[in-house]
Amino acid sequence: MSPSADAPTAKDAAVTHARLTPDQFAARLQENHRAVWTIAVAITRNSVIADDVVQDAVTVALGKLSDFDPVTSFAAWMGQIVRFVALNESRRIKKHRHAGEESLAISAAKREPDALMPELDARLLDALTSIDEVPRACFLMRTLHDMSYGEIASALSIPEGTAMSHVHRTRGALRSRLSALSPGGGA
Amino acid sequence: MSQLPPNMIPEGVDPASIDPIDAYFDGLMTPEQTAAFIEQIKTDAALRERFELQQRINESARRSLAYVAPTPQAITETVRAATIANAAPLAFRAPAIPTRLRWLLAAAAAVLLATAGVLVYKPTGVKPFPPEQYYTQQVANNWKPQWVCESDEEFVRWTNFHFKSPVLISMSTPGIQVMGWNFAPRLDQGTPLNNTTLALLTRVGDDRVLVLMDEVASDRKISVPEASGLKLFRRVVGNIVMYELTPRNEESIINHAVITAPPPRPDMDPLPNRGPDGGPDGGR
Repeated sequence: MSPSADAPTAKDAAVTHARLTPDQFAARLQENHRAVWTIAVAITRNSVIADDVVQDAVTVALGKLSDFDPVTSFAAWMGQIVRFVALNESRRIKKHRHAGEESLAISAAKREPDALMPELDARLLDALTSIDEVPRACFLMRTLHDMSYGEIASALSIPEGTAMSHVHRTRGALRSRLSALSPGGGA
Repeated sequence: MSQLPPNMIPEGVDPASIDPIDAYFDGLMTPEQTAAFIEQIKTDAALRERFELQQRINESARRSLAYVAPTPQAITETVRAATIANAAPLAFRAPAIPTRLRWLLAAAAAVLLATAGVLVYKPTGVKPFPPEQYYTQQVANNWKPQWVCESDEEFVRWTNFHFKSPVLISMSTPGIQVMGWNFAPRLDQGTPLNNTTLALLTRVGDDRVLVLMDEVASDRKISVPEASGLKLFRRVVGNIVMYELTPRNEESIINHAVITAPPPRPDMDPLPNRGPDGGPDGGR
């Protein structure tokens, strides 16, 4: 396992008990962007909305910067804020969907899975909804970004073994749900 | 898989419990184990089927949830803008400010301060973003406005506040539905017109019609490709340049724009105590 990208550095130690400057915040965000973006996409299942969520979360995070201890995990702290913003956004989208307005990607996938994307892609996005949020984020971090279990654990504030277990179980669950699409599964 | 290298397995995980497929995709096998696994796949049809399905699932996830890493400059600009956004309310008012309104207040603050000769945030220049792609993004985002005017008076206050020109597109104009406003520039991607541009989201029947607005001084030549299926119409009303992006063959919104009398107390916050979706907490 490679060391977590979020491990405190000597430079960080110098700012212990001090508030991050915007430049330091930007550097930390750059290091951890893929992790926090994946938390957003795990909840929203839409890349464009995930971008918006992270952008909104930056504003929230900067307003709460005094709450963050620079010697602790930036990914975990920022991940919590992103999660909060993403859940709010998801609720808002759900409300609009009930009112008749759906996300283009989601509605297209539901109506015509073959029209805009391969059938597997549409079914995968659908199958991901059956996976709990944290295991889903673990699976996506591992699969989209090849993040180590140490990095995943740090970003989600969970033990490394739990992160691995979530990924393995999610893979199995997705295979079960999508097995009809495998060559021997009738698709 | 009891032979998996124990130093690669997180503490508390029993190596024997790890499925060979997981061990393979996690890179937990030694080269010898990997070679043996590949051989096993060739002869074990059930294992091969599971393996190939997992490969397809992984590829599908990467394809359907593609990640585009932002550049360091984009991150820096996003943080700079958010920093200004968080500072802006102090100069404007004391009550809590909806998160998204802060972005616009930041832009307004930057303009006001720059006008006063105090340089707080100097955009590094206009980074063009295709208007038709901006339109598509708004569609993908449910045609969702960040700020909503609930009356003609608020609309005039809003345009006068941002563009120094009391222009109205009446909310009661037959056949059109004024949804609300978004801040057009995406700091990590660019802007369809300029760095202070606002986008008015509207509906005309079943069609979504978007109007980009900015001060005339911020105008630049923009266009949309024919293949986008969108048309672009331009008008200048007062100090505001307007571009209407529409799937329709004629302009439906900007032809209704008129100059009105300036609102009373023109420098006050145009939408006090209301955020995105018109909710008191910014819709959050």
